[in-house]
Amino acid sequence: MESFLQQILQGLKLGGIYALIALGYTMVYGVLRLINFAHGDVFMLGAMLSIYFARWTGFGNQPSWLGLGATLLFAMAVCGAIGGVIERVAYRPLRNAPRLSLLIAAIGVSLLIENVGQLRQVFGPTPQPFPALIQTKTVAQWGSLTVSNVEILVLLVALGLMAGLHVFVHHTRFGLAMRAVAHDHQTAGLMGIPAGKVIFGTFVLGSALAGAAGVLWGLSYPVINPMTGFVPGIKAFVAAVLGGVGSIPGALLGGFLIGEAESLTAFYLSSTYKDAIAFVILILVLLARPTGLLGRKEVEKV
Amino acid sequence: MSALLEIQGVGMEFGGLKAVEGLDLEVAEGELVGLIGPNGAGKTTVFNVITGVYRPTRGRICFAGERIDGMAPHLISRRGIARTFQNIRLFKNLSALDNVVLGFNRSARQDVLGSMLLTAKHWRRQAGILKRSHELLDKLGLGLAEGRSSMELPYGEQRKLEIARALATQPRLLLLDEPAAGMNLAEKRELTGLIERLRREFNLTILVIEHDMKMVMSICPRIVVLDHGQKIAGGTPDEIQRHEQVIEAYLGEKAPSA
Repeated sequence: MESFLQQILQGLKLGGIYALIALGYTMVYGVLRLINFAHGDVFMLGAMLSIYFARWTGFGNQPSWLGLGATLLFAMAVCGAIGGVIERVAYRPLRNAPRLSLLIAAIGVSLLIENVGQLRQVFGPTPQPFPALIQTKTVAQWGSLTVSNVEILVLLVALGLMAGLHVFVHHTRFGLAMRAVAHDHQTAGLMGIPAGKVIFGTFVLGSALAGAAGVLWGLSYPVINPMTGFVPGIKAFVAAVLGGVGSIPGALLGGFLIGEAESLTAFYLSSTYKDAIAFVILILVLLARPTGLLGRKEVEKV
Repeated sequence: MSALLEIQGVGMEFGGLKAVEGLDLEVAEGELVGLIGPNGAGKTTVFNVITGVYRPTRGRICFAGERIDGMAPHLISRRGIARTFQNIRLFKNLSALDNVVLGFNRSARQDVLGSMLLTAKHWRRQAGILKRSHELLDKLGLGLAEGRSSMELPYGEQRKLEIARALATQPRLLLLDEPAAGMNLAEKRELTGLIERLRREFNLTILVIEHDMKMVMSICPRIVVLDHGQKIAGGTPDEIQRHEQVIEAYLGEKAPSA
């Protein structure tokens, strides 16, 4: 029983990170109908650049709340900016091109980041240790079930950002414009909403969340290399599809479900299968319910 | 009297198809002009060209003295042109109120920053916009509908909500694309009164596409007729009704007398 709960806890932590990444996929898909395959790499950059930031500021040498907070903010800001640049440079010129071109551009950006990152002059191919921004401690224990402060922290930060996003999307004018553009960007434009700016803002927002996810990932799995973003990125994509791509609550649900599935598979089946389970789920979803758990059927407009 | 909207020699081609050809049209401030013509005459294309959905392949369009053809739709909207759609295009994922709130959209840059930083100014502006949205919905008799999803509203109210949303952008020129389509007689009568009332209250200039001849003839002092993308007539309802080419366009060519 305790080991089961331990796996559930582990799944929640993992799921919170997947959910944060999945939000970026789903928001961008919402406004642009694009699966932004470079999103996982933005997540990696969040983790990777935080290592350099912590090294440069000295926050990595001594765990402190200030250091953690500053690194988190740094990762969000820098990833937001990177996401914005990617949109401007790679996707905006293709706004009127067929969607397939956009998808190929996304894969291209992903390959570019991963491979340029492996150059020795950039990050290099060797994994780098993520600094201990907080001291890992056990904060609660029941029998063999232990809860560490990192797990609590990851979950709290993830939930906090999700709550913030909810307020943003449902109670601000930009959020309203985002929902309008997601529904019909042409009509939104005719009502005076600058769809281009809204799409840009959505990229910035989603990428900032990926940056935060990168830091949380680094705290949990403190070894980062330029390919780190690939697998979590794909799993978060599966999470977005599972929840219903385009749906924000769906991304949250999907993220946590994938996290749990992975954690339980690793424990009860074999850790060999833990990466495969996400794809099994993807195939099942596409067969049984292609619109995802909370997704709506898309009606083609005539 | 200088025209608010000036369309000069506008042509719109899609591949080889000439949807609109050599169109000249002037609408003076405060006018209510009807745009009629058989199906496929290019009426909605004219609206699309005015609002920036399409960039005309020929000619120029000026609004309040400024050239607007080729401008992005959101910039044209901000200069004061709003429209409704033949097949309703509300934001169905939003409530009736939010559809209108969205229309009050003036300075996007402040919006983005304010939204991100959740500034006090953003909330104050937001409160002011909410109040004006309530008032606007009340004026159109949609006060009770505001909390509901726009998708659930009855058809006639959806049409009115589209007008409310258009008015929220604070237009000088309102383009109505078949506002009475699908309405019953009572609803049409109510709409006729509403259009007249809104025109006076908001100092609007209106260009309306409508298939219901009785309605067009009764509300529009001036009517322009399109056929095959070309303007074939223009004048008062009386003149239009007697215009030979118009009768031909609608009824087909007169059979040669035997």
